[in-house]
Amino acid sequence: MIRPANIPRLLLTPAILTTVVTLGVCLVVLLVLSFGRQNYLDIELGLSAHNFELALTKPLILKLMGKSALIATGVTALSLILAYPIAYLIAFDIHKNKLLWLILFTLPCWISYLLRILSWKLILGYQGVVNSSLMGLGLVDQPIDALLYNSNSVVIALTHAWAPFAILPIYVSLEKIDRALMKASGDLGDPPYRTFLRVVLPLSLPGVSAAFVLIFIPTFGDYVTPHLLGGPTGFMVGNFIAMQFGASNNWPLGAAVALVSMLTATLLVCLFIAGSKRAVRAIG
Amino acid sequence: MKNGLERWLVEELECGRIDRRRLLKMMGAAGVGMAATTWSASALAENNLTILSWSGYDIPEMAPAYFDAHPAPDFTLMGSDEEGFQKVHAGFRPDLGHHTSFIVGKYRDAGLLKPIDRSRLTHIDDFFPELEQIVTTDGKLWEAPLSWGNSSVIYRRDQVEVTDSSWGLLWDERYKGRIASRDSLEGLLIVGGLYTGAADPWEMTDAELEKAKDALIAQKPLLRFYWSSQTDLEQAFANGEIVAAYGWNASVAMLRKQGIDMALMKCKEGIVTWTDGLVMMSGGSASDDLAYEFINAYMSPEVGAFLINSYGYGSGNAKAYESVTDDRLAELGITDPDVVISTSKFQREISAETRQRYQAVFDEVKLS
Repeated sequence: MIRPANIPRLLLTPAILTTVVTLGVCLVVLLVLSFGRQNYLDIELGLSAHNFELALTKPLILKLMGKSALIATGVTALSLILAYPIAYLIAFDIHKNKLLWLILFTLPCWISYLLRILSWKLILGYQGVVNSSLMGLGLVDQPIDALLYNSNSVVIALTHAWAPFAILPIYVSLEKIDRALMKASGDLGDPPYRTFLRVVLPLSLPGVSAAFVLIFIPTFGDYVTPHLLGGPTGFMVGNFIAMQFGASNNWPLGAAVALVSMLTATLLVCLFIAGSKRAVRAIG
Repeated sequence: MKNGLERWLVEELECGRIDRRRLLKMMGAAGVGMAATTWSASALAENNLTILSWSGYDIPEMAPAYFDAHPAPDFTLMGSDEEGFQKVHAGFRPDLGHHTSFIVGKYRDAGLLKPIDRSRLTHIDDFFPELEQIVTTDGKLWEAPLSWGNSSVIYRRDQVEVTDSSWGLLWDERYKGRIASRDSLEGLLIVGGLYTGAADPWEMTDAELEKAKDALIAQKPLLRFYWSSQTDLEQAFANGEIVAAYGWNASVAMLRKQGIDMALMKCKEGIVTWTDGLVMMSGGSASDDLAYEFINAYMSPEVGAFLINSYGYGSGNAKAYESVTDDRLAELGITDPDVVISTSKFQREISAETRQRYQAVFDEVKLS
């Protein structure tokens, strides 16, 4: 018999099972693989730290890790800068149909990601929208080829894809702010910009942090975008991992680099959250 | 219904990377084992051919005699040799695979191939013996040869001024940002070896490999992209985005048809000739009879003529050249195919140890 007290536990079961199977089991597999060794076509399991040593010392891997961190930071920063004003607008200046506005700003997410990447190819390409407009206006006489197939195009496409995800958490934390606090700050003589820095920004920090995590982590490990838009120089650590599980056929090394890059991303996120709290306190 | 189910299964095999046996096991665990076994037994009896192949080779013109007599095989297409290998290594089990000689050894080492019974190949005696030798080891034939063609610098004659017929065009500063290379081991490393003057690009010493690597890394700022789809490459040539690239005869033929002035360079360092054909995979589900029927249809002189006329490749079947016009042969430079074949640098198999060394360098070059 199902007792009412057990219902929450029962309801949680599918979610826990899914997490254990899709996350837990996979992590264990990665961990076991990462201590093994690839011998041409076979994987020899063992307890060798060789792959971790490579992951932490090989210049190519370190370079890719650094580039991924840089690209992910750029994308996250751009997304936050673009999303914050929109969230602010919806939270404080729009009073009717807020939901409609939120949906409008998330419209880009309604199209398949691959299609969005393809559209960027059409926009930034050699004979793309930007180049043909510039040439039509007579501003340049040769198409600019620095637009596509490098790290810039990766940052542009990723920002376009992820900025909408920053709007929601920031909006929620702005919406929760007690309007009386802002009024009080004004009554006590703070000009609006100081009210923003000392009241609104600190109180919306949880939303900003959530947005940071939401965007930084997936973009750090992204590999489709650099594969399709990055050209010969825009590759990220995700491409290295994908290649080890593909053509390069070195699963143990791929697993070790995947684990190290997960830890790196986590570490960077923690650093950002701690840093942003301090920064805001310093401003206040 | 059964057809739909089979199709679903094949798709599942491609995406989910599980093989039939494991799938049946899973279904058995779910309590439908009995039903599934009965179903699969009846399906096995008349199983359709599944073929791992390339875009352009999946059409009736490539095996008319087979298509006339049987339902169309299920084709799965690959973008590169390695991608195809990974699919099969991860559990996909086609009956036949269309592979270049470069990768056949890797399949064989992984125990994924069945040797081919030469006596069952109707047309094999019409084929150039050199092609057969490349895919024969320990007296066993591992691939039914089909075609051959050149990999070289292909370029737009109207945009490029060639001063020296050399792979060096892919390193030419004048065309910075308008050059493309291929996203594959043989497309990068063998070319790097040829360009830097390695004695044998298929078996480079560590010092030679290092030299090739440095050259390939130095080439990166000049490249627009590494191509993996032939269509992307051809489009980039057509709209003027690139003017020179590592490429094949088929792209030259295709672009010329569109009125673009393309040429394939006869590089002084030597151009690379690849040869490909069909291998029989172990663990496939269709009958061998069906597979041999397809292979024989594929190797016929009519298909050879089609390859020459439509794709600009050479056929391995000497009889195919009889029904092609002299003009076409002269245009492709294969009026005397036996001479071309006997003087070519064939893209040959490389040893497992070398392949691993090459692969590590390839990663380094591509990602750095």
